[in-house]
Amino acid sequence: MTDRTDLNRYLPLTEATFYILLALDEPLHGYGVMQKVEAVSQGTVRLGPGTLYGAFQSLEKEGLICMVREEERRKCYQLTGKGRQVLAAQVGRLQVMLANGQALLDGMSSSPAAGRPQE
Amino acid sequence: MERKIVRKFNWFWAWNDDREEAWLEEMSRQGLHLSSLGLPCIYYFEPGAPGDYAYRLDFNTSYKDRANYLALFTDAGWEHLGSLGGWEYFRKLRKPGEAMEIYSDNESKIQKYNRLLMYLMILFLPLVVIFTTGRPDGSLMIYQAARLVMFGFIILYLIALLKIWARINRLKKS
Repeated sequence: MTDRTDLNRYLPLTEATFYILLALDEPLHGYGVMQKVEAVSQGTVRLGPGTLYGAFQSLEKEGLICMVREEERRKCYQLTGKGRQVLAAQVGRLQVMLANGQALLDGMSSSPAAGRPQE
Repeated sequence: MERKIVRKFNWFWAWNDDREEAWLEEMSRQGLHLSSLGLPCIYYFEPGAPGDYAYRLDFNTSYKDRANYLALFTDAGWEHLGSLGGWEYFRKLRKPGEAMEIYSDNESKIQKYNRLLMYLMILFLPLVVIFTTGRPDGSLMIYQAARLVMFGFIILYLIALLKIWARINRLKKS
């Protein structure tokens, strides 16, 4: 089990990195990752090949993903155990953010003046 | 009708890759499409129907993984035109709804310029070492001339490093 502070070193993940790790739950090559990320993010994240190539290299170096095979010159990557832990740590942080944001919005809708600075 | 390749010379500084992209796009709009590159600073164009193409330059020096690197770009719809001194030239026809950037976020774009900066540093540092450890009292004409040329290169490198560094900072702020 990797140390928690070690995992926090990677956080927060950029939106691109988050979705790349998410997509690599199954072995995929670059273009497969692009298509999957665009689909699951509902079109909000479209990865450029330069961005993706750089991300593959640094994530592999950090041990968050690993190459599993090569198909017609295309490298296929998959999430490692450490990568999964980093992803889980990020999701944990997002849940805290989401709960805090939701609590604020709920408070605002019940009393419209709440949360606004006094004039 | 025979289509003749048009050869043009043009010089762009390493920190002006966006200007080079804009120039290539303008050439395509005039019906001259980049077909290959050569030294020194030669661009070969193929005449054809004017087209609205996006040209993008990437900086990549990982030659070991080149086939995988190029496959990723071509899968994403980018045509590879050639490479020169670590720069890779790509082209894609502009269409509505099509992604036209090879770098989709600022962080990765900064990494591209960081790679360029590192590459230039590797060339720059030995030059400085040779220059500063050389005998300053050498009287041979050829020796003095070599020192002068080296000094010119050092100044050029300094400008390039500063320009790229400034560019990285601009990207970090935006």
